[in-house]
Amino acid sequence: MEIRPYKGWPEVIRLLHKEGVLTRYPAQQKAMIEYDEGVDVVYYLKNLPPKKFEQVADLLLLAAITEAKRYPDAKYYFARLEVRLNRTEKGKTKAGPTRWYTAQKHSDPDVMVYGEEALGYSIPEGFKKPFLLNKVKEILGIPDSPSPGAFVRKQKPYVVSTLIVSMRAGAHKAVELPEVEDEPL
Amino acid sequence: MSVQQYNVDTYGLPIPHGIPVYDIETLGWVNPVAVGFYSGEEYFEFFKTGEDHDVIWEFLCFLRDNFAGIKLYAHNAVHFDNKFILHTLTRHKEKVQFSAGIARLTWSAPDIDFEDSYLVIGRSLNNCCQAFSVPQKLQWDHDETQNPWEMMNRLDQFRAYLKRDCIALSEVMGKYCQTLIKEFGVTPSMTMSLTSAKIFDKCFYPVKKIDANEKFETFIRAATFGGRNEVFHRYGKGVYFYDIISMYVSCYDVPMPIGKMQWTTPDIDKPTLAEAIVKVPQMMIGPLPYRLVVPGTHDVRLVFPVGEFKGWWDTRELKKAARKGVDIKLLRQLQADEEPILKNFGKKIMELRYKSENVELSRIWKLHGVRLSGKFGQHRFVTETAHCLDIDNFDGWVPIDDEEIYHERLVALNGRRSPYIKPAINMRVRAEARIRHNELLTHAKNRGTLYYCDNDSVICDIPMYTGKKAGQLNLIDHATEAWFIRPKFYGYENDMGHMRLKTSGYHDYKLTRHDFEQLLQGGEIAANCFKSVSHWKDSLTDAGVKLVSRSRSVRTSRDFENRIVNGLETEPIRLEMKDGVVVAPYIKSPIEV
Repeated sequence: MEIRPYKGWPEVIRLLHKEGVLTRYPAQQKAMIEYDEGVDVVYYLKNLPPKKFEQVADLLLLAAITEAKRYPDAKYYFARLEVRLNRTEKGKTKAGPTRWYTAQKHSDPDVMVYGEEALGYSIPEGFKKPFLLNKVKEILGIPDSPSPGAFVRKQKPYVVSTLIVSMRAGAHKAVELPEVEDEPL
Repeated sequence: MSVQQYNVDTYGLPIPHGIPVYDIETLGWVNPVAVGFYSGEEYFEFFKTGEDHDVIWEFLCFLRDNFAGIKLYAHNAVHFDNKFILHTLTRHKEKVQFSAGIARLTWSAPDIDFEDSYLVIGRSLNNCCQAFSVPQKLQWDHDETQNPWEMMNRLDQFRAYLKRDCIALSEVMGKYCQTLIKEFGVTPSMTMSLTSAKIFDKCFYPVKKIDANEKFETFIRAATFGGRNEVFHRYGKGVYFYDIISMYVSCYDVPMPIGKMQWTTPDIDKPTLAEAIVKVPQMMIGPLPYRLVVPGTHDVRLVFPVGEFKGWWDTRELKKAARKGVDIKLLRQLQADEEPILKNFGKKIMELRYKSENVELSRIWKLHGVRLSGKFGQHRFVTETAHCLDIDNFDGWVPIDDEEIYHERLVALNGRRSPYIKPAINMRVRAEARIRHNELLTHAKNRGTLYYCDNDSVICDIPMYTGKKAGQLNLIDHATEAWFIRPKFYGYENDMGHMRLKTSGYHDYKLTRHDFEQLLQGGEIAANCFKSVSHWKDSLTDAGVKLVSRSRSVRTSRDFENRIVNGLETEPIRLEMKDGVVVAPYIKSPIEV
């Protein structure tokens, strides 16, 4: 799977830039994975506090879907958001400094991003909703959540620093394992 | 543990070969220096020979070449040994399957399973050795573990310790298998709860005859609550500490809901569970449990309130509450056929407990008894982990490592995939346990002063009737003076003048009677935990990790536990209903406090 250069920045990236959300323009990278191949598009965000994140969440979702649709030949799409937690002293013993909120892989970018709305039916009760839209809601709900909500400061509980949109070819690549040298007992 | 591993003795009972086990020894808990492996017939050991030597990989290569297809156990593998195995296998790009999370790792190519024997038996290795009369572990101070080439003359002692550890575990597992085969004709499963469920299914009642009532599970789960843990009186003299013997197993004699549930006209004399609005008059021991979301937070606490509130309860519990003067208005009700199907299982477990040669074996049987109801109450949602090569369609899978090799997803175990999940039985056992506990508490309160209770304990100042049967009280200790600060946080001085503590969250800090007196008056005690903890903190310090500053203090209580504190007394929380919603008007949110 090859990287597709932008033919001019998509409108959504211009809007994000105008909103002052990006530290620089998105970078496209080949995914460094062994069993599959694909491309990651990394959006470096300006450490968005909750309020700003809520304001631009729709644009970020739109950006994810725009990026995914630029690669129609990809078999699976997923995306993740990196959240840096502003932990309390007690929280430092309970939670790590960053958390990734990862949307599940899906073959349809609309479903990967918008979930139930695109699926046309609702997920049964008890299941965690795993789409990017739900992940955004989870992040916005951090202050009210038992974890990591209980471990972060009330003021400026977190910042959102990165959005990565990933496209995968879905290839089960055969990996050559290194030859094992038997060590003497 | 496959049946093919057994021969038959002169009485026709199977004799297991030694069970294959392994044990990893580390330096500073992170650096593996030795592996002991007992195949069931022969013992092997592997030592680190140099700074760059990977002893775990050497052990794994040996297994791959000589013992393909083997299943081997390590004690507490989930939290220790299996982590090293997984780390080494993934580092060498070997494919691993997770049949039950990290509790069963399967190295795919040679088909080798690494399992946790602690999950199988549920007790520490030393306790298991006592239970099955196996020679105990040898003494070894882990602080003295060094690289093998640095241990000099202590290496022999270390080797003996490692060998004894492996052989003891193998013998324990062998004897445990033999005991289970003799008593029930079953071999151990991966966890003790699963073994109990299989015993019940094979010897007492076929679980497939019990309706899981998946359609009504939301209501059943809403009517399932834990045990009572409350402080009634915060200071006392001449206090008796009682424990209820086999609390849950003693409740196995009641009829259990096993039939298909259906809606029925509300009637408190009918089984099985009901939604109701209850009005509990002011009383010291609230009869009905309620899950209260503490205002202003997301903490859910189990409280036994007074006042008006709404919820789902087992009808047995509602009936009992009605006798105590609670006004009950039933809204809707689910009914199912009931039969005392656990009675014989409970009886057998108690028989085994009585005839146990030692207290440790008795505890293992006790665990078997309790775990059965726990297994019935297990939740349906589990996280499934798989290697990418085992996934055909990635829709719904979330990658969990940077290399995107392993993926996970949440799955619901429905129908045939969860043959042992019967939440209504778990609901009934828990409800019955609370009813019987409440009876004992009421008895103590009516005749003396009641101080404290935990799930299965009664702490009061009057001598109560004790016995040795399931459900009867057992005197644990007597205190000259006792301080009950909050649930799971109390201390007392016993008749011998020894201070005994139950200080959840502060195990590393020894509190004195002066501290308790201060806490009772609302004081705060500075506790520098770093000074009071030895051993592992020292090894961290030796490794260059230093605590720069950390202060901690022990507080009287949080702003609200599960009862309202009023001087030395406490009283139940009062709930009210406003526009059909339950509110707790007398509880202040932490922000208000």
